[in-house]
Amino acid sequence: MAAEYWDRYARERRSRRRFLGGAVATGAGAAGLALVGCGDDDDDDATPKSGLATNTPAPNATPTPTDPYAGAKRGGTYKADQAGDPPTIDPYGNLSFLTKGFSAFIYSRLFKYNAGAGVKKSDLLPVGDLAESSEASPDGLTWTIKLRKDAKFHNVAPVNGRAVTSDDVKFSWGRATAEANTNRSQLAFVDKVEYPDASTVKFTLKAPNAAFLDVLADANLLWIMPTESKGKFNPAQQAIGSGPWMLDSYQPSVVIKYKKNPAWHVPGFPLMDAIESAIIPEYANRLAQFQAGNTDVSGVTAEDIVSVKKAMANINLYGEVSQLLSMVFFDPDPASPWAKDPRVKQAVSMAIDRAGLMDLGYNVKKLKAEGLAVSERWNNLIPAGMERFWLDPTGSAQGETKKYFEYNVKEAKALLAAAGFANGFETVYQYTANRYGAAFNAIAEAHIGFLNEIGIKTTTDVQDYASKYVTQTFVGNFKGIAFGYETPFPEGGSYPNRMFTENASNHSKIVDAELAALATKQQQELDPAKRKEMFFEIQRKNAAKMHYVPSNAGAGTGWTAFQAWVKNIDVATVPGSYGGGTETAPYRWLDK
Amino acid sequence: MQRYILRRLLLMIPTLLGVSFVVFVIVRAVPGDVVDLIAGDFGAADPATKDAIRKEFGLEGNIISQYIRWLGDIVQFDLGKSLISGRTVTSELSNRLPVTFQLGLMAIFFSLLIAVPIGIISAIRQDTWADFVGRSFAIGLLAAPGFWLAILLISMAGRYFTWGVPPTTYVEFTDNPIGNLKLMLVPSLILGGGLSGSVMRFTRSTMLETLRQDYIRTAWSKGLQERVIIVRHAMRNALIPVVTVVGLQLPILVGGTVIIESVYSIPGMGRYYIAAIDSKDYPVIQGINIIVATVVVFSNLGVDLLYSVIDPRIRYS
Repeated sequence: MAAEYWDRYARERRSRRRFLGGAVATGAGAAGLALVGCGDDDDDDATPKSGLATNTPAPNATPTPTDPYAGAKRGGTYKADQAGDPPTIDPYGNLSFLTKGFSAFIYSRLFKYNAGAGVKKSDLLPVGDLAESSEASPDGLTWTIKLRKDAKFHNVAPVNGRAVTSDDVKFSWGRATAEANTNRSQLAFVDKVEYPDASTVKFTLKAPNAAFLDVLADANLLWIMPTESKGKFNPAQQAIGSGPWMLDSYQPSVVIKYKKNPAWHVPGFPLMDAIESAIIPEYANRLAQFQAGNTDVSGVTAEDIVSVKKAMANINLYGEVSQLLSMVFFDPDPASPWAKDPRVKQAVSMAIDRAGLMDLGYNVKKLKAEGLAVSERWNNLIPAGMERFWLDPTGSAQGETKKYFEYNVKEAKALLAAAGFANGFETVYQYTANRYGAAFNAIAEAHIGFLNEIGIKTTTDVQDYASKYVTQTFVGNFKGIAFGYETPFPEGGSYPNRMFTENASNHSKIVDAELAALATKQQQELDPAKRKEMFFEIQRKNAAKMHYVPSNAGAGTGWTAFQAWVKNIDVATVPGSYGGGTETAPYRWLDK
Repeated sequence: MQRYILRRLLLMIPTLLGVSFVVFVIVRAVPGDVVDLIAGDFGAADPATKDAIRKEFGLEGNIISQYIRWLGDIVQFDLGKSLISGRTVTSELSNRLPVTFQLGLMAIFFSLLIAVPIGIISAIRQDTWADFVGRSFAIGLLAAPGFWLAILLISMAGRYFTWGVPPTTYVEFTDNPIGNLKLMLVPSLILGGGLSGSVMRFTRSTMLETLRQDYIRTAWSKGLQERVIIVRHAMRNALIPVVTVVGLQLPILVGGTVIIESVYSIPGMGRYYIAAIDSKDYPVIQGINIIVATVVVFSNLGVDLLYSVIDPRIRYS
């Protein structure tokens, strides 16, 4: 079984090589700029939230008879926006998506996602970035990765364009797993890393891991920095990587300017000469800049999308469902009503009008009436945007537990009564309103009405994100019922691992041996079909007990508007991967 | 005069020490630990990670020892490093303070430009249509929230008159004066407009009071022209309390720039402050507060000294 799994990756790599070869010959490539501002604190309702949106090349797509880059124009400066500064430009200096998004322009990873034209979201898989090849041992415990010989760092002192070697990987792995790097827990499944020669890296895992290449492609984790970052220059002030773009200048709170790396290891790309990403915190200002033609791209809310399209007939719209799971979760107090009887959680789920929430947060009815293609998929425990593992909660595959996703106040009240709470109960309902934007806030408020309707009398605690929500509630230190987003992991396995195994961020401190075992087992299952079925089983089992009640903030379509002259916009990478600077930006072009 | 200034300067020391201590304690008293925030949600409960972060950022030890360490740095003009970006607060503020300073100066200029003439005309034409219109206008500016006005103007410009959309990025006045003013003009007008309401009301009332003084009546009886009476005799005296009001508005102005800088994407201190509060970036919050406190105490001193310039009868000893 392991062999089949690794064969699949090998096929991916081969088809990628074929594609790239063709691309060089034809001047082709693929796709778009990835968002820097996705995760923008205040505009989650406009998915790729900022200017550098999330489209990608088609590296491993089956080559089509029509070369999508035949008419591609080179040159020009792409003007984008983003909502905030990266807290630091050192890729290991902060967990912020703004730092990771910035890093994707400058730095390479060992692997990246194969997003691009012709690649369905459900087929998004890791392919080599700096890795030229990878081989796994039959037991899946050892991975040998060969680095590309043609990969070089930017030609900037003190690195001066030298080749990327395994020493750089060793240095970067050290930073990724340093004690102060809180992401190191994501890499704890790696037993040891060896560096037999300058172009070989050998990973030994503690147990087989189906998501290993996804981890290496995860833009949150392993960016390859030059060893000179230690002592010869300060990576918090100067960014030198081997990625498609070089840092031209960074004026905090004003603009980040990138210029293309002419020696990038994907020959012929990037197509554009430069990118300027203006830092504009206010949505109204970003939209006005786009309307005035000052920027080439901007995230637009579902509320504004129709009026913007009407006022600017020539623009192109790109809609995408983010990989964002919102959930109602419960305190771990054994004396709480939901601990006494699990039917309370089922009742809460049935009190939620999910279709109504889609309309409230994402303007679904109006946009459909205007002829726009909007998603109506609901979040399950796996977010609706993660098609690779998502189980449709309204579909027959959900089985009997499908009923717990239905809006049924009468049945919800009956469940509460059966649990011994015929008159309801009082509790605290908490969420944060200063981080996730208007759609989230509207949906969070709507939950109050839903809970009240079935007799759960709530005292609302609207929490500050920084001082209370993320540091207390999110990690399970709270009383009552909470609502929030889960971290947008690019790989599905992280969701059950985080939520059902013993770890600091098991938000409700769920102890469910069956689900914990499944969470661990899926990570080690190397057969994609079997693994997918395990994901479905996890979603069904969660629904049966509603440990976490999925809600629809994050499930709707987010919109990005592009000026007519921006080409190659309609491909998508992994939402939440933050890797678009590498995966999409080099392949977009301007046709002015 | 010199002794007076020296005394005031010495009195600033306990004031600033008090402010620094209160701010230092308050930012740490806010629920939640900055270390949790830096650690993020991946490793929030890992004590080893937290200890490593605490050590790396100098957050170990009790609050008093931390305060003394910070104070020791402050007297050497070292405001510390941002816990989030790692950049020095001093270097960040040296770039951002001039921007906020320019915005504030322009706002005060526009505030006075609107308020003083309207206040004077309202006073000398009391209870006429000019008085009513002028007062309504100024009160209207006071009543309209600056952030609302700013967002409204930007949104309308984007939709209906794109020439009115501010430039995408900030440029320094010395590099490109026109480009700079294109961005700074409207926000400073909005800020100045907001401040002008109270200044206008104050100007009007002090002007009315001054116009009823005996020496003004004497000037009228001497047959002096209205312009001479108003400008030379009434206005100069009436403006003394107005100077106080303008001086007291400086901290309000700093608060106003926080929002307007975010809306107009101006890379000033206010925007930096908001981001620091959001991320509980102690050194930045403390640094900005100490700078603002210093500006306020010095501007109060400046206002007091300005009295003697406006009214030669005032002498300090």
